[in-house]
Amino acid sequence: MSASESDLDMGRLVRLGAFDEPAIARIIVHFLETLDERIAAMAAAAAAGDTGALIHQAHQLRGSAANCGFCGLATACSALVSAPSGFDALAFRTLAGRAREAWQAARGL
Amino acid sequence: MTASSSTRNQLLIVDDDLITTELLSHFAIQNDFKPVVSSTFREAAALDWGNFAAMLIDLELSDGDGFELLCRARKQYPQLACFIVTSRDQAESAVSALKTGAVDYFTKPFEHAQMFASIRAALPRLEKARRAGSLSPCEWKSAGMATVEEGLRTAARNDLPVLLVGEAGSGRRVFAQQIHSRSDRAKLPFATVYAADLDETALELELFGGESRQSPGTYVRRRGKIESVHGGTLFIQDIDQVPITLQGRLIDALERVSGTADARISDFRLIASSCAKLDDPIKRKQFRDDLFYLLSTNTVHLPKLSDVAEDIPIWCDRILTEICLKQRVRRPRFTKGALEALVDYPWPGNLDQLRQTLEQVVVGSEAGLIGREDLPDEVQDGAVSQDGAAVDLAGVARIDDLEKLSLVSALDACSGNRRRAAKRLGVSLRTIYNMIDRHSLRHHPVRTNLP
Repeated sequence: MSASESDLDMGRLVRLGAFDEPAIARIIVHFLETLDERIAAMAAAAAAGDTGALIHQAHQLRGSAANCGFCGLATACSALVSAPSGFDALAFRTLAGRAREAWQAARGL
Repeated sequence: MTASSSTRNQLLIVDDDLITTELLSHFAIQNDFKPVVSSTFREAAALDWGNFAAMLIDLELSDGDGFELLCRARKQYPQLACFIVTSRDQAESAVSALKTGAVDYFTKPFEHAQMFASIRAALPRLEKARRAGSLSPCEWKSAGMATVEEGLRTAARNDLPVLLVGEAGSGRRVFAQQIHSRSDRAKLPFATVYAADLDETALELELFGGESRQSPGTYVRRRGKIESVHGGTLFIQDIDQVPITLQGRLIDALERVSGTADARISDFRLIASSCAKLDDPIKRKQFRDDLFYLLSTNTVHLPKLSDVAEDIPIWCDRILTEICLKQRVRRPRFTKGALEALVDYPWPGNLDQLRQTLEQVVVGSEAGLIGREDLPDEVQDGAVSQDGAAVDLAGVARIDDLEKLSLVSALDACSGNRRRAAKRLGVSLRTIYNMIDRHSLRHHPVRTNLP
């Protein structure tokens, strides 16, 4: 699966100044770097049956993903907040990979 | 809030998501704010919010409810501009937040241009609101408020400690801020300590500073309010709740203020408040008489709102102006009936209750006119029962019985308030007391209209 428009909100990135301001680009890169760790924490919460922690982490990730323009991840997190029993770590890792790809592609434009 | 020039642009960001706080901090700096980030409820709650111009609160924090922070800020720092950040599916919480007094709310993903435009626009308006809501010298109608005004003037002219005595909700903090803002220390910090909310250890840390546990095994030195307020005014709410051991340290701090060059010792003015007179705690050896003597030079007794009911329209005017400037809404007017109801209601929660009521009314009013029907039921009921007190005349055989029945009805409708009952019956206060004695009603149970 390759990254698509549904993964990245280009308009949002432009409004943020992600392509003009190095500080914003650094924050986005930082976000992408933390993704694996955050998904691992969600997987741990799901494995422990800690629904509260899973929902909170999904809520947090949804916020930062949406703020950074990664709408695919944000949508998946919204679905997870509503139905935490449907957590699929693999699907989230795939989305994280697509987010990184989409960011790289957008920077290359 | 009385902010010094250095704190007018400090923005407190309370959000537990690192990425979001990095973005918000970046845009805050771009908009000439100095961001301070708290990633937990606990951390945010420990800060002195008097140092900030505005607060941006995420409702969902890992260790607490952002809504609770908003409520605390509204209670402790009514002039602090609070903004809420929520998810799109938290619309109901956002509405509740606005009703509680948040200036605006933003959903994630936030649009930073819109967000900071809103914050920047609110601050001068809030400053104006602060001035409107402040107790600038005014022609109060009641003798009680005129006495308070005189006390404030005297306290503002000298630099001695002040004791404010008034029951809960009587605006002790507002009056303390007024003394500060009219004093020579006005441009320096003003900090508040709520003694009743803290246990002895926490209160000691709050006042005098010390080692604070940051995480397991990690301690950081925390400055106490006495040190951080250097040059300004420290207000201690409920001084009678300060344990006697700490009262001694407080006296030391106050006595060392004068005549020493030790840079570690803060130069501060103390304003303290108590819900009741301190005679009883002194008799019970729970309050040091030397601290009382230090405080009592400037003592201001704050009346119950119902005792200065003539001034309720002035308070309503000031508070309404302040709320409307803050909430960016057109200032509604009161109908005569609404104002009468507001004046007649006993306000057991005093000014705080009046403010909360007006905030709710402004949020709910759309027509630009606030009628009696827009007021909360209990306020309306108080007024309605006054207009047409239903006195059951069946079985009343004598004039004397009728007088007793009228008196009981008036006392019930006025929640036992003699002065209001007198006004209601069109007799003097002395007559009411005479009637109470004549009918042996001194211990008549009070029926209030409150739930």
